[in-house]
Amino acid sequence: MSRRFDHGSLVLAAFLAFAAPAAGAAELRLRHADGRAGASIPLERLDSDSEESFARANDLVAALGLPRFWRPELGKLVLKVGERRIQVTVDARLVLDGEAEVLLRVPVRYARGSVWLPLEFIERVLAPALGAGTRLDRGERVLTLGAGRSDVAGIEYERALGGGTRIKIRCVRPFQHRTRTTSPEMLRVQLENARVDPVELAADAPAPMVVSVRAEQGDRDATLYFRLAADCDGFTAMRAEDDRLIVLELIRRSPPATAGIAPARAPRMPELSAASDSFDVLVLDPGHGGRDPGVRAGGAVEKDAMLALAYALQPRLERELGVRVILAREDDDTVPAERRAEIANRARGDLALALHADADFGRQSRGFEIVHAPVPPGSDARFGTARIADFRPWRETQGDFAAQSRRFAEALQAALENRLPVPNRGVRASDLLTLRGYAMPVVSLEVGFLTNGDDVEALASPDFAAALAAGIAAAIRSDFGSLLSPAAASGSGVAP
Amino acid sequence: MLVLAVVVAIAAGSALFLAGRSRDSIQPDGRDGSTAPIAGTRSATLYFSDRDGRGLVPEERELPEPDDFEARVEGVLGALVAGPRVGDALPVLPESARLLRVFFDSDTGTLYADFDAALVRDHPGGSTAEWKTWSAMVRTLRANFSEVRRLQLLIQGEPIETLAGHFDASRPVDLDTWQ
Repeated sequence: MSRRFDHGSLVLAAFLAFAAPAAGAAELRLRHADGRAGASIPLERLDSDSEESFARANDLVAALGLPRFWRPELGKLVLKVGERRIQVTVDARLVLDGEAEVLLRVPVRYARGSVWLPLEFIERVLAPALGAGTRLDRGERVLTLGAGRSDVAGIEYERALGGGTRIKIRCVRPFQHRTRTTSPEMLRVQLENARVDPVELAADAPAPMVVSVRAEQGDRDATLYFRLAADCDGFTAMRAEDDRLIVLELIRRSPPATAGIAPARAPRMPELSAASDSFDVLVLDPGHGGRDPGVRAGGAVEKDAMLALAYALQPRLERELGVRVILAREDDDTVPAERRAEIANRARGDLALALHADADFGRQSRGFEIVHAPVPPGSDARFGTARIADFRPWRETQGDFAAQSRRFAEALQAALENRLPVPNRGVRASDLLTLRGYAMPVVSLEVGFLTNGDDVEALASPDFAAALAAGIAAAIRSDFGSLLSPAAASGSGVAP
Repeated sequence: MLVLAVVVAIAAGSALFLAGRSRDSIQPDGRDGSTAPIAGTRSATLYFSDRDGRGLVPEERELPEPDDFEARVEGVLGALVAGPRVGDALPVLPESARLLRVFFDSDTGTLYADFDAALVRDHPGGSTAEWKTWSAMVRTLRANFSEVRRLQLLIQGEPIETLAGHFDASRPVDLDTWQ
């Protein structure tokens, strides 16, 4: 039988020839179960002899918020979906999905510096792993995300009095939560022991005064981030329905008063807006601890030395200043940096001081050094310990206090220079993990180098703690004197 | 005829003399006395710790220049790992540390530098030493590879929270803004 190519076939062939490039430049659209549109991911055909489309792995994990680990020496990429680990290998068809194996029709590719995953991988492996109802429509190139297990059933928005916005967070059961604002633009709601679906809860401009909503799943807790519009002037928070409903009411900033009538405003939550007018709490943070020993040199272990030093400083400073001194770590425990900042914030500290010992690659380096967080451009140096009801992401919390931190660092340097038996290495700014998250001035004090014999000897002296306490107290009087009791401010000590 | 022979002899002798002179001026290693680098190498700037521990000092070094970009980066970072050769500078990574490989994501300008566990296990700790390790890598990359905008450390192929407890290693470090 001979094949005949009629005119119609030629036209169809020509159409397909022109249509093919457009089809190759397609995209995969994500859609939520409730119909909301999600991200779009470009697709490409990488093989001239295959109809399969590929998506860049980086685009997929970014859109879905998945952790991923790349081992370039083995060409292996691991994606984590919840507790599930899915492993692909470049130029291989075999996918390891937990303990199961899936053989794809075409291999995973590596091109132009990226790993590319075929649609078949999304259809047969990723969609089932993401959760009930997640499915890929190949024809439409739409990935519909199912509703995964989440302790937050949904977030609703309503108009509130005075043009504000009411946010209702519906939970499947009661949760302990903390709501804090650390910058004018960010409201953070932390749910203890909760699970959320970050993809499900993410939204842009869901309501007036709410620019975006994002969710983050931690090891134990979940956090919702509400980015607020510039006209938000504060909020109130309450619980309802047996604590399963968290209600946040955003207050719209009032226009300038006219005709002598001041507009009514809802009061702010007092624990978030009250400025501190006294210095009451000093937080000492002995560095490292537990599984993290810190520096081990000079016959000393940093975590033990700093804990001992903190315990030596605590009664001296309480007596000198008449303030409460709390320790962010009281034993040989593994305490993450974020947790230490949280301890200080919950204690409503007025100042935090991290205690560390230093080390270098050589043995000549010695002396004490004070580190503060970088001061953001345009920051004002606020006087005193005013705690401001600002909104800021956790990582940037210290930004509002960095200028104060710098000023205290300089005061502490001056106070220690002639008191400590180790040289003064000065003050520097650095984005240390140990300074993040503090809603108060905070500095890190490196008391000396355990890799230098002279410093080790000085640190071991029984007079070191007393000299350091005297210097810290002098610096606090210098920088916060007006907020201390008259006796403490004058240095005459406080009667027990 | 005799005069012609003498002229030819003088000309030939001169030619041989001049050729010998030009050969004599070429050094056995191929250099002709100019300052051009040896073919197949390029000058790289490496940063190490100064002796009194207060900062970093640069060291210029001739390193092989393979065609592959990642191999060039691996060569420079490998030289950093090997330590300083001049003056009394100090290394900035533990002597036992080994660079396994690098991977460059050209889409984001992120360099993934994968080290073995010794980098963490044998690091002296302390914020000064940790700062020097990071600063030396950041400055070395910045000085030699304008394509690299961010650096992500891996240990045995896996990301880590921090190298020695003071600086965040969980996210790529921006070479322009890190401090």
